Amino acid sequence: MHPVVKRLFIHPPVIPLLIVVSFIDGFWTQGNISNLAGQISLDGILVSGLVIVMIAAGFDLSIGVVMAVSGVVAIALAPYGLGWAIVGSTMTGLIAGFLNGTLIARFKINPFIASFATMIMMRGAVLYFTDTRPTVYFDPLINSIGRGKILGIPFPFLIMLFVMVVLHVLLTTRAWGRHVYAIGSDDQAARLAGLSVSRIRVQVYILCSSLAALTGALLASKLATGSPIVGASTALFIAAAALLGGATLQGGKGSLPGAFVGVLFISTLVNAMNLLVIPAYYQRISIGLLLIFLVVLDGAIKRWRLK
Amino acid sequence: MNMHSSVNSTTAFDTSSQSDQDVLISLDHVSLSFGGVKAISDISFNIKKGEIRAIIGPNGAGKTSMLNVINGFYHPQEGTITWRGKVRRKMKPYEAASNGIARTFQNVALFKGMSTLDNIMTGRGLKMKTNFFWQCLRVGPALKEEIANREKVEEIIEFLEIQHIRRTPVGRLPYGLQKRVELARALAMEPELLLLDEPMAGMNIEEKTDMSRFILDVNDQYGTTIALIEHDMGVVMDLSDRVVVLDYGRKIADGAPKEVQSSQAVIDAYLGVSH
Repeated sequence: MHPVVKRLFIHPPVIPLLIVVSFIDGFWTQGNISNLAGQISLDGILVSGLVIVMIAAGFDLSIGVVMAVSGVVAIALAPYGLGWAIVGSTMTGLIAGFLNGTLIARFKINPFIASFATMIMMRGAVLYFTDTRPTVYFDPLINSIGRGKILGIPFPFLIMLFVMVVLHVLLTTRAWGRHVYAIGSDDQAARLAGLSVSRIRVQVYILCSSLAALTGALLASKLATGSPIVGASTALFIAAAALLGGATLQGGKGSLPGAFVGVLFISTLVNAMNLLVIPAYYQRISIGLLLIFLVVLDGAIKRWRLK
Repeated sequence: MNMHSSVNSTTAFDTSSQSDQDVLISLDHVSLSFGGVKAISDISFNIKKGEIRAIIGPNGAGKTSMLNVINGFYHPQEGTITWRGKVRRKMKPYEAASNGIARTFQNVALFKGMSTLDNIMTGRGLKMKTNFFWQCLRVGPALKEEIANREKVEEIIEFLEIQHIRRTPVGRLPYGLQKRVELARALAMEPELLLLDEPMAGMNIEEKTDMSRFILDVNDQYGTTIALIEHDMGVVMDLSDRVVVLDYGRKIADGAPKEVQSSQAVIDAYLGVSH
C-alpha cells in the first residue's frame, strides 16, 4: 500500500471520517467549516513544532502553558503598540524553548520531566501575575490578525500553511533536517559522526516553544483576551495528533504532512462530536480509546503483512 | 604539513626518535578498569601511519574496550595515549571525530529510518562550517558547501558500490549492506584513523570478500590508517600488516601476522590452556 494512501485511509482514517461526517447535519455549512479551519490552523502550528521535537526523540508538555503566557504577555503589552506585543510574545517563546532545551540537552533531564517542571512553573507564574483573571484589550488592528481573512481564508490558516511548508522543506531537503532525524534515531551515533547534538536539540525546543507562543498570540488576538488558563490539556491532544500522523516517542520518525493529517483527523472528529452534542468528557474518552485502537490496528496490519 | 610543524614545535619535549614520526597513535602502559574489574591491564602498542592494524583475541579479551579507549569513549585510569606526537588529554568521542578518528560499531549504529544517502551525509556534519541560517536559506557559501559535501559523498557511494541503494531507508537493507553504509558514513568524515569493530561479523563469504576488498581499497586509495577487530582469522591474516593479540585484558603477542600465528601464547589462548 502506498504510504500516502495509508496515511489518508488507515492511519488515521481521515478520508473515511470525512465521508461519515458529511452525513451530519450542519457539517458543510460555511460557519462550521470556518470554525473547523480556525481550530485546525492553531493546532496545526502547534503540531508542527511538537512533531519536530518528537522526531528528535524529545517531548514538550509545556506548549499549552507557553500559549497561555504568550497570549497574556501579548495582550498586556498591546496598549503600548502592536510591535511590543509581538516582541513580548516572541521573547516568551524563545526563553521557554531555551529553558526546556537547556534542561534536556545540557543537563540531560528526561524531556517529560523537564517540560513538566517548566509547565508547572510557568502556569504558576502566569496565574500569579494575572491573579487568575484573563486580561482583555480590544484593538481593531490587533484583533484583525486573529480574525482577518484573505480571499475568504482565515489569516491564521495561511500562517499555518506557511509554517508547515517552510518546516517541511527544512526537514526534508536541508542539512539541519537531516541532523534532526539523525539525533532522533541514534544520538550516540550522531555524536560520533561529529554533530553537535545538544545544540541541535536546543534549537528544536526553541522552535517548538516559539510556535506555541505564536499560537498563543494568534488565539489572544482572535479573542482580544489573554487567558492564563488556556492550553491545560493542549499538549496531549497535539501529541495524539502527531502520533496518529506517524511520529513516535522513540524518535527518528514523523513528518509534517503526517502531523497535519493527524490534526485534521482529531479536529474533524471533535468538531463532529460537537455537532452531535456529545459531551466533552465523552469526547476525551473516545479520543483516548481511538488512539489505542489505531495504534493496535497499525501493529496488527504490520504483523499480518509479515506473515 | 600541519603535522610536521606541530612535531617540530614540541621537539624540546619530544624524546622520541626520528622513526616515531611514522607513528599515528601510541598507547603506553594503558590500564582500564570498571569498578574492580580490569578490562585492560598495562597494554602498550602503536599504530603506524598508513597501516592496517588488527586487534584480535578471544571473547572478553578487551578488544572493544581498546577501541573505546582509542576514540575517547573511555579514558584509561593509567597510561598515556600519544596522538600525532602529542600526549592526549581526556576527551569526548565527538572531539575524536574532529581530530580525525572515525569508527563503525559491532552492532550497526545507523539512522534506520533515513536513506543511505542521508546517513552518509550526516558523516559530513563536521565538515559543515556555515551556520544554521545560511544552511536553511541555502544560498552563497552554504550552497557551495552543500554541493561540495554532496560530491564527496557521491564519490564514496560510487567507491563502495552502493549506488543502487542510495534512496533506500537503511532499516530495510540486508545486514551486509548496512555494514557497508556504516563504513561509508565513517569514510565521509575523511578520517585519518578508521576504527572498525568486527566489520565482517555475521556476513557470508561473498560479503566478507567484498568487505575485505573495500578495506584494502580504502587503505590504498585514501591512505587511511585502519585499526580493526575481527574474529575471522583468515581475514585478519590476509588483510593486516601487523596484529596485536589480547587475552584477558593483557597483550600476549604483537607483530606481523606470520609471527603472531606461530606464537605459542596465541595458540594457547585460542585453543584454551588452563590458566
